[in-house]
Amino acid sequence: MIRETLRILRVVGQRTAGFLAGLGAARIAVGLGGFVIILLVFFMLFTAGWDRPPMKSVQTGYRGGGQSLVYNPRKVSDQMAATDFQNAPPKASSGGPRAGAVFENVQVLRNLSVGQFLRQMQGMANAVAPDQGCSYCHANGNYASDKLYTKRVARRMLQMTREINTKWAAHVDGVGVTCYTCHRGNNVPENVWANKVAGVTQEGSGKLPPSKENGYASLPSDLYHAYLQMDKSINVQSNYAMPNGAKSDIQDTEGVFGLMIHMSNALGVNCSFCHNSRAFSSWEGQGRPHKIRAWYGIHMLRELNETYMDSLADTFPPSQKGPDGKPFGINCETCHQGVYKPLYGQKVIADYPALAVPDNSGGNGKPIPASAPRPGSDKTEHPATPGNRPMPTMPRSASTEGSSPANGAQGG
Amino acid sequence: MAEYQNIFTRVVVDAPTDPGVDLGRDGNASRMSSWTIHSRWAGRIGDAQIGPLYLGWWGCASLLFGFIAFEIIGLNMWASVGWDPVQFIRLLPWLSLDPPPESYGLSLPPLAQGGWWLIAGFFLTVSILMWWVRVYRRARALGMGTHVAWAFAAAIWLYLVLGFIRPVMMGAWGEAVPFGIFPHLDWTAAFSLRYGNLFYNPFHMLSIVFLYGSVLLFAMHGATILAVARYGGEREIEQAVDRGTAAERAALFWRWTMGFNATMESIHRWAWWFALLCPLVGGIGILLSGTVVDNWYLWGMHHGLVTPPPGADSVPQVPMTQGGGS
Repeated sequence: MIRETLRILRVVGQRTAGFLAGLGAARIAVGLGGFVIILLVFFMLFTAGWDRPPMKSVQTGYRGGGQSLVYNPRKVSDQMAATDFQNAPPKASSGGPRAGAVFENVQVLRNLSVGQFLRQMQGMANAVAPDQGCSYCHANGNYASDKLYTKRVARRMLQMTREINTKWAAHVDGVGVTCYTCHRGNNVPENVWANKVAGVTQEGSGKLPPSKENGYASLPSDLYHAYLQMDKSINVQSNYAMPNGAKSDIQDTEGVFGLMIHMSNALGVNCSFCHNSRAFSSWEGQGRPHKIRAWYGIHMLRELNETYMDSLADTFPPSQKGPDGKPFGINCETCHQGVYKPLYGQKVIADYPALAVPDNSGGNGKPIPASAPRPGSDKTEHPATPGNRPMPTMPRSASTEGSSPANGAQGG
Repeated sequence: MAEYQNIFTRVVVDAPTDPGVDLGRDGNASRMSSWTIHSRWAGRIGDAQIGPLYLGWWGCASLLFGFIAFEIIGLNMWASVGWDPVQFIRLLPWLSLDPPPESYGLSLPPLAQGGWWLIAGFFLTVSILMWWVRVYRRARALGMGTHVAWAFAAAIWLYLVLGFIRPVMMGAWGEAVPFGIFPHLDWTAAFSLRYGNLFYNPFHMLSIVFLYGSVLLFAMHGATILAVARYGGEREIEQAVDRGTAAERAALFWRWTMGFNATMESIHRWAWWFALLCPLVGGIGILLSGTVVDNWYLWGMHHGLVTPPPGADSVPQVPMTQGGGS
């Protein structure tokens, strides 16, 4: 048995050697082929978008459905180690006169005590202008003056932060948002967007140049104005099995695809964090709570960009605007910075409760969209959301259970 | 002893240029009017004689039209990076020539808004169709059947569905595929996303069956013939007529292992039909998307094709329209 095996191995070895020797000039071709393979392996290992094993996979849903999150544990630990968490000054007394009565021209934080107010100001300086300090916003020691644009912007940002922490609790509750969530010690947050202006491309699809934002895919990357400021529909999949007149095209789908890749990058998660990939627009599956939270986040960004950032168009000097001449915008990356919860879920709002007070001085005044997906909501009727187009009935829907084929299908 | 092998061989299959037997007027004329060369490299993977190549008017016209399409696509891509040669090479996989926005419908868009795409598509389509005519006519000239032409036609069907028939049915050139390496791949992914996951499209399923089936049949057939090549099994036609050791052994092998064997002829019909049906049914699946079915996942749900995940009863089932309008 063993001798037989050895004999076979020897014959195979001889044949292989003879074969290779017989190749002659073909050796050059083999060499070239090997060189190409080495190049490809090198490309795979050392260029962007690839990770070497082992990866960490966390199953989140029923087996066999691809419901799992995949992480590179080395990157996650590096990223975590490199994170500077929020570090707030010690708490201040809530007693004594109110800041609005003591200081001139206090418009937002007037109900804080003097101690709380000064502490809040210190926290803002730490988060936004650690190098410049008070003078980044306050001109020549005249703390009441609104002369510097930075102070006027900061006031608006305080209002915005309050709006986020109160109206958009569905997105940020539990951790909240402070100046530090986005700024992290920078005057301008590191991750902001501006509409792209003619650069490498002259005309066309907005797919160039390939960027990390959309995973180096050939997808549009100039998306934020449409989807995170205006109300361009993200729901490109049909709600009906059969065509019903509602039409979104492949080009719209590519835009949404690009936006979703941005979200995935910004949160450091894969698609199945929120989606059941067999039906992306469905609300079924283990990722549902995250998908709902993200859904609120999209609507939140629309208000922040349209109502808050754009209201500063005349306040920012040209040097502080994007190449398109408009204020920079906020997207998922601005706060999340590659992490599924900004700052790994540090409860930043606990340090600055004054930023979680309702403030009626600047939002768009619209209520939270009423058609937010809620668990166990009505199975027979589509939500009658103002602004939604009336739902046409699908042809050949007689055999479905509910009044809508989507319902009947999903309920089954 | 040297063995007769077509690939990885120590023996080069070569002989002086051989005009062969008289093939009749058309066959001879085509054959004699062109050049031949002999290449040892070609001999290692097939026949060492290269040529004669018959181009003819159809071939020349096809190449010309194909060249025009290639130039339009390439120059548009180069223009999209401001005629920068470095960026052109660096970004080549991402560069695209896109169809017009949907809003143009089936009208003629401005050149920079998809007009060039339409022109390039026209020239490429005409080029491919003329190449098909050439394949058909050469087969007839040799007195052969036209199986190759019809196999090619199956691929052309899929191409026409993607770039012409379906866009016309949908009423917009914007429904068609962009030209470009990554762009056409991302378009494919977006197509599946738009129509609710193409995996639930039964014609897509069939197409995959025939794709993988073709691979399986090819592997089985190739392996069988190689395995009996030592008995002359690669001379399949003679084997089919004069039953010999190789054919008998090959057939017996499959009867032993799975109880049934294809014949020397029928295996090629198996392979031919599997290969043809792959793009044929795939094209049907594409054609039905957006025209007849708008969401294959819901369609699959509707017809009991999709399994709800276990424990789905405990997951609140809300319609996909929940949160719609976002």
